[in-house]
Amino acid sequence: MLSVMVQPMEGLLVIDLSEGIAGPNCSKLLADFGARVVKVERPGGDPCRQMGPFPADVPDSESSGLSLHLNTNKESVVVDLGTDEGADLVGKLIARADVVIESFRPGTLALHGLDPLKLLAGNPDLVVTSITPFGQTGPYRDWEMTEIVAFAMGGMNASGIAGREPVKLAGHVVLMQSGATACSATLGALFHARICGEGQQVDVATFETQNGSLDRRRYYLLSYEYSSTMAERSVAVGAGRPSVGGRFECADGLTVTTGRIWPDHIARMVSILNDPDLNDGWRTYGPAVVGECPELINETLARWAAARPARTAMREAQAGGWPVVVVNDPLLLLSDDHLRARGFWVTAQHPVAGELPYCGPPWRIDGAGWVLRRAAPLLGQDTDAVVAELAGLDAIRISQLRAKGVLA
Amino acid sequence: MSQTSKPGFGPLRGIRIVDLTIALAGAFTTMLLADMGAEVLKVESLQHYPTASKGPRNPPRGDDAASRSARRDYPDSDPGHDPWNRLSWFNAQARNKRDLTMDITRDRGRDLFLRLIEVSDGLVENNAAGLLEKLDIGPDVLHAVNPRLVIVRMPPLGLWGPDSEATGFGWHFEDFGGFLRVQGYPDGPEVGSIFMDGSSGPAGASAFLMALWQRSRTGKGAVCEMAQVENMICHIGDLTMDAAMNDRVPPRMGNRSPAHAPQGCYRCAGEDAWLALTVCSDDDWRALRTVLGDPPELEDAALDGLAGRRAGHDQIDRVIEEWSSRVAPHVAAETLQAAGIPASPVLNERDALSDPQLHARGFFHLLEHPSCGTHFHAGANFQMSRTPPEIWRAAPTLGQDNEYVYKEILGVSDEEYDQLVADGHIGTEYL
Repeated sequence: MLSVMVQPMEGLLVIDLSEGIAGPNCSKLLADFGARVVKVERPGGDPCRQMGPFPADVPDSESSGLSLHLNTNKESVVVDLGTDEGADLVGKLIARADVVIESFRPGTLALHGLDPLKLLAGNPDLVVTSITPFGQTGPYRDWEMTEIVAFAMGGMNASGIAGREPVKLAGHVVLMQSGATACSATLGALFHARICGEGQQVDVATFETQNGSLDRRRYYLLSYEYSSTMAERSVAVGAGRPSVGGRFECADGLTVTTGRIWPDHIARMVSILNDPDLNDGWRTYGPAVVGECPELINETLARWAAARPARTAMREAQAGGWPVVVVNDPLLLLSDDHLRARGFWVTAQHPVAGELPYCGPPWRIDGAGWVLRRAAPLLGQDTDAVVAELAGLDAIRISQLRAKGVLA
Repeated sequence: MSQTSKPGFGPLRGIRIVDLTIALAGAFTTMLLADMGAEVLKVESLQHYPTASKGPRNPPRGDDAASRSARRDYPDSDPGHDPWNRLSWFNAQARNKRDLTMDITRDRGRDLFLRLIEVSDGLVENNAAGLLEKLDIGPDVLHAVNPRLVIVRMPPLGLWGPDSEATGFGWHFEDFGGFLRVQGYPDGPEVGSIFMDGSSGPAGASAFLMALWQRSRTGKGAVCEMAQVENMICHIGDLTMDAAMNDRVPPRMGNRSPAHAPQGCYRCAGEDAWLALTVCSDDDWRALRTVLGDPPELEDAALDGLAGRRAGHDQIDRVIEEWSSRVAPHVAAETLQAAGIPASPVLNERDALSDPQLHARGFFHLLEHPSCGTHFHAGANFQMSRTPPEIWRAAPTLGQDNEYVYKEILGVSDEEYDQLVADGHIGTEYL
């Protein structure tokens, strides 16, 4: 008998009304692990389609790298929610759904007759996940947020150099993490719905996912409570610029980093470098050699790195229990030996953007569970098929609604 | 609520998770699950002091700046006689968890551990790849005892592959993950962060919950492998797309946006006072000019479009800062938000702890800790209307829940319990 692999979230229908980054990242995770996600877009499409990167930096709503990344495995339906017929149609889609994901300003769903309480009344085990900048309640609930604003409100004061302006993190990582947190909460609510038959609204605020993140902010807040001291801006957070160790160029032009050299690792490093002068230094000073002979160590490290390719240096050091790693950038990641061997990059064809490598599984369940079934949809690619199947509209009705601009 | 009451709340009530995590990433995962009502049992060993989780055993007590700075993570900057119970890194994420001690490297401890596994639903760990196997408690052993167990493993580079054995700290893996080259000042140094720990928490929790969902259909447990570096890279999927589409390393943009202009962080009136804002549209741009008092330098029609604003970004920044440096950051942000422009002060810890929005939403919880006293703690990272998270007690001290776990869960007799104390399994101080 053939064994058919079932993805963990298979059988689940998600109606995704969210836009931007956080909401779509939440639904991406569900889609990539097998849920059927219908992305309901406004006429003209999710504004995320206008955000780069683009091939050759030429904007095109079908080839935004951000949108291609976030919308894998989804179907796209264009509905004008601002019309009565559009809102009614979305209501019909939701009636079939297990999960609704939305990122509107609080109160917007109710304006369209889709108040979460009303949705739950009609569909008692429905999970409605709202992912917004500040949550459904409170004085800032109508405020706007972008990536830099999200980080400014939750940790940016400790990022950068003292005296200079605080600096944001790479890309849109704070908003991405908000969506990932929303995915956990949605899964929790789904589990409750399966066990108890009771749905609910999940209210995720990026302001809270960021202030509650363990990228340090959560414990910095408690440290302030404990000792009234605040985290200072210092590039030494993370990789930093250690005066001993750090990055060194290797024989193949790539770079390795030792990071700051940890006391436990000094003996292993000295033994791996096996340099006569450094061995003398070790005999004289022991672990204090790092503080006593910084130039000797840096010179020895530089010679050692320059004599071998970066990956070889990393593996020699790691084999001896000394943490050294290759320094990658987003371009080098695409050809990283370890990631390639694990099949992390997954190639897919897209009718406009062509063939591209996509980020693979963020996690694997029994070695599997994540599948790239199709690349991100073209705008409205699935409108007709989805409204026919899930809302029971016939071809005549669909063309009427298209003519009125309700569907596209 | 009392320190010993048994919580029955959240979607995960009745789900028990054994926590073998170290440091922060795995602990963040079990925190999210504890906030959903799972009973999280953190297993420690009196014989193995966990510096990465509980800080130095003998924190610096000198009066030099470095020592004082190292003590900021303790109440009143005082490590006390039990520094392991007083550290903010641990106490910020361990509230809602239980703590027990058990030396699983000895046969007796391992037997007890497997009995605990038998009556649990999950195990979460973020040790180096292969550690469980070394302790002879690998997934095969655990599943033989409890086939329904959901195991979440979070090694930095995964459980297999040419470099899966590599170890290191967060800063190593951020460099390996390609973050630092694209993060920091365009004209100055790259800036590190600890984003991997932050991103690993929700991913580990979602992996657990997906496997639990699957178990409710199949009746079988699973092994979830969450390679922290791979998950972290998924958070910069737009940047790897840029690399793939354009065969280039995406530029390090500092505070600027690839999609909008202007965007930046601007000096305000006050000490270390800053404002962040993004102009997302031409409408936002007109609104910004009005807020700034229609400065003549910004009247250029070329600036009405995105391309022009990108080209004139430096000049625009100067005009914004001329205005912002005369205004308090919260006033500037409120004015801009009232005009529909995304903006905020850079909130330091003091600002956040007194923030009206966070308090209105009940984000902070006042919790009493046996060794640390009473402080506000950050609460749950999400709200739920029917099964709301509860923050029911402060972080446990070492071994605080030994009696509960050994006697109530494992059914250990009083005599046996005393023997386990004598044998160094059960205790409240590291040996």
